[in-house]
Amino acid sequence: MQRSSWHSPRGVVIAAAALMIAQVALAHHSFVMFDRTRQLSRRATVKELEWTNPHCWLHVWIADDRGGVREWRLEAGPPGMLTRTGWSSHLVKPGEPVTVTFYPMKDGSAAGDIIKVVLPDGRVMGPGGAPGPPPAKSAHN
Amino acid sequence: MKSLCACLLLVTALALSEGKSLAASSHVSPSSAKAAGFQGIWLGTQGTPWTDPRYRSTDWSPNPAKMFTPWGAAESQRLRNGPDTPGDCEPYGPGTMMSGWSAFPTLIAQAGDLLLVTIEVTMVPRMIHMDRATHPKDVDPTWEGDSVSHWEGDTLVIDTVGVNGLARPLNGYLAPAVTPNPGDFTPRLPISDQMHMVERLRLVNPDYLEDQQTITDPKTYAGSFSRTTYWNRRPDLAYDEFFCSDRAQNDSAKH
Repeated sequence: MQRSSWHSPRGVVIAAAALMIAQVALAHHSFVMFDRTRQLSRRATVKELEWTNPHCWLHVWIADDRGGVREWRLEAGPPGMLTRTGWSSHLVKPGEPVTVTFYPMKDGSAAGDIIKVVLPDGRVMGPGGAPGPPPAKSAHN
Repeated sequence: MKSLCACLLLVTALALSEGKSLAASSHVSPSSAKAAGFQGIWLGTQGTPWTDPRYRSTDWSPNPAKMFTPWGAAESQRLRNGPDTPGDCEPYGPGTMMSGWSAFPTLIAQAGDLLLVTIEVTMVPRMIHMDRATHPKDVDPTWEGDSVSHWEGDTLVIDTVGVNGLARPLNGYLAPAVTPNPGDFTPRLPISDQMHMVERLRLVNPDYLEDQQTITDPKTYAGSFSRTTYWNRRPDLAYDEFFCSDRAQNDSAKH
């Protein structure tokens, strides 16, 4: 079964384009609360990956500017989309360090829409997207 | 195996929901046997540059947004103005389900004379009857309507009426207010309970499925419009379960 296609530039481009199509047509709730003119990138510690429909949520701890930490909730695609782009419910574990890039909320609350997540081993995971090409042996191009 | 299990569960659930026993629905008339080639996991060719360019879906023609009735124009505007209308988890109607999107796999399975079509991201499948070519006199409205069919050669001609008119518009429900792309001011294309869709479903070859669709909906549009959509056979893809309301329906509203 198909898993990740995010690890090649072609895969990223295809998946990003397809995700845009998918989000326009298929998303399950409003995206208007996210400020898509801004991107934040932060080092974070995983609290929990909420593996659920219709969309998954990555809960992380991010340091604030007062010396403390704050929980952020970051939204990704549905489990099926994530599975087909290399995720699993066990991909990240509580306590693991990650770097998250996301569109923040317009109202300043601690949540966002995931753009990418860099794992401890350097893998770059997207927010879920359309499947990539079939395996080479059955490719049609 | 996961896909197979999902398929079997789907077939079982749907056969039972139809008020039939599996034994009864396992009957396959000689003509329905021709639908066997439709079965499998498919991916729409929209946005898939690796697929054969001869099999790319077309847009609706003529443009439905140029043919709105007053009710259709008002409904389209209502949907555009969102937010989150008509809601988060409404199923896709038959026209929306057959759009040929590539974001999620489409599963087609056969249970006797019943052809089942569903896309992973919706929870209500289409049920296409291959053992009758006419609709009941009084069709109770449903999300997917009543679909009957007959064969013209190797093409399954499907006729659908009886939708409840509450499903997402033909181009998805998202209005500019709720799309991630702020510049998307594409008019929403609603359907009403008067929608009538005729399709011509056929395998163009073992790896590509074609569906020619023509819709009339006199409550919403002044004329009919058509398009052709395609899917690429993708046995390598997992078909995962999807239940829209696992989490609170509008998860972002919890912020």
